[in-house]
Amino acid sequence: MRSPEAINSRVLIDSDYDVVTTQFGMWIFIAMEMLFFGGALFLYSSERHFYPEVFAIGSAHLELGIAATNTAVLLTSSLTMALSVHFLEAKRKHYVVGFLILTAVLGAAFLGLKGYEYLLDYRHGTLAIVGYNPDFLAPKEVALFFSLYFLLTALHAVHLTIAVIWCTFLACRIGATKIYQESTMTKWRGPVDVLGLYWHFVDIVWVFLLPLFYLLGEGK
Amino acid sequence: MKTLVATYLALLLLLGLTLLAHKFELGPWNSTIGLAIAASKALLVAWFFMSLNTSSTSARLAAIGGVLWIFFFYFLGALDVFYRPAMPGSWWK
Repeated sequence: MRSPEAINSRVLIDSDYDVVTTQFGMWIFIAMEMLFFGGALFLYSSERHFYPEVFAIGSAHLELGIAATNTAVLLTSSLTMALSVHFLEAKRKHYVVGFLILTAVLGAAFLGLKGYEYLLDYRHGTLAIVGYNPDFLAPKEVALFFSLYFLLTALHAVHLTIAVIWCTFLACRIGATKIYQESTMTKWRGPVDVLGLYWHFVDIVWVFLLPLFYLLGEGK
Repeated sequence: MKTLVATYLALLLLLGLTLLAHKFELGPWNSTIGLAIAASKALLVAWFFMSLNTSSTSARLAAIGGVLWIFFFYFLGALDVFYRPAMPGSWWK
């Protein structure tokens, strides 16, 4: 229940309304995204149930070092994104823009490392999109693991690419705001909140992909 | 801000724990531990970084709803896939 002062203040009503409904809408979207990734993950679960040994063999061929580094990079990007939201609430424009740029750079670093990993997969003949090297795949059912690996990691990479472009765009827009006023920063609250929620969701997806693909089989 | 940094450090610690657990040969428990730590990391990110701790009830309901639908989806899907009897001549196992 809003206080009479808040009801009399149109700015506060609009601002409150905007944040609550925007966050709610974004969480509904994230719930749909969860089901979207859930479909592919269910396919993974059922195939792994039938071919557990094949998944363990496939997992041993992946680059755990790169994946662990990428996880640390993405977790760091989540912190910088959370800090940009924090400084937006404190109305510190330069910090907001700085942390948004840092977040985008970390996201791009993740994509660069992931691209390098795909290159290594290509050299090994295990990159699903260009076909498999039959000499490398033994047993041939390992192709099933690599297909699912590529499907899910590529879907994640597409999501992260969108987030990086969005983050860069928003940093430029906020950075270009000339008039530094309280109302000016308040209007960015919704867009930055939404981007933040999306970014963290993409981070969470990767957090699950790490044990599902890279940490199967024997310890190394 | 201190909470955000503390959450980040906890996440890095959990990542280290994930990699450490992988060094030990625990059979099927390796995967279970990896997923349990991943779920803990996801909870930390959702609660502190995604601000569910200060979000409105509607946002929290939408978040919980998403997780619940995943469980329904998995439960019903698993019933079908894992308990469907093999049909003669079917490609399905």
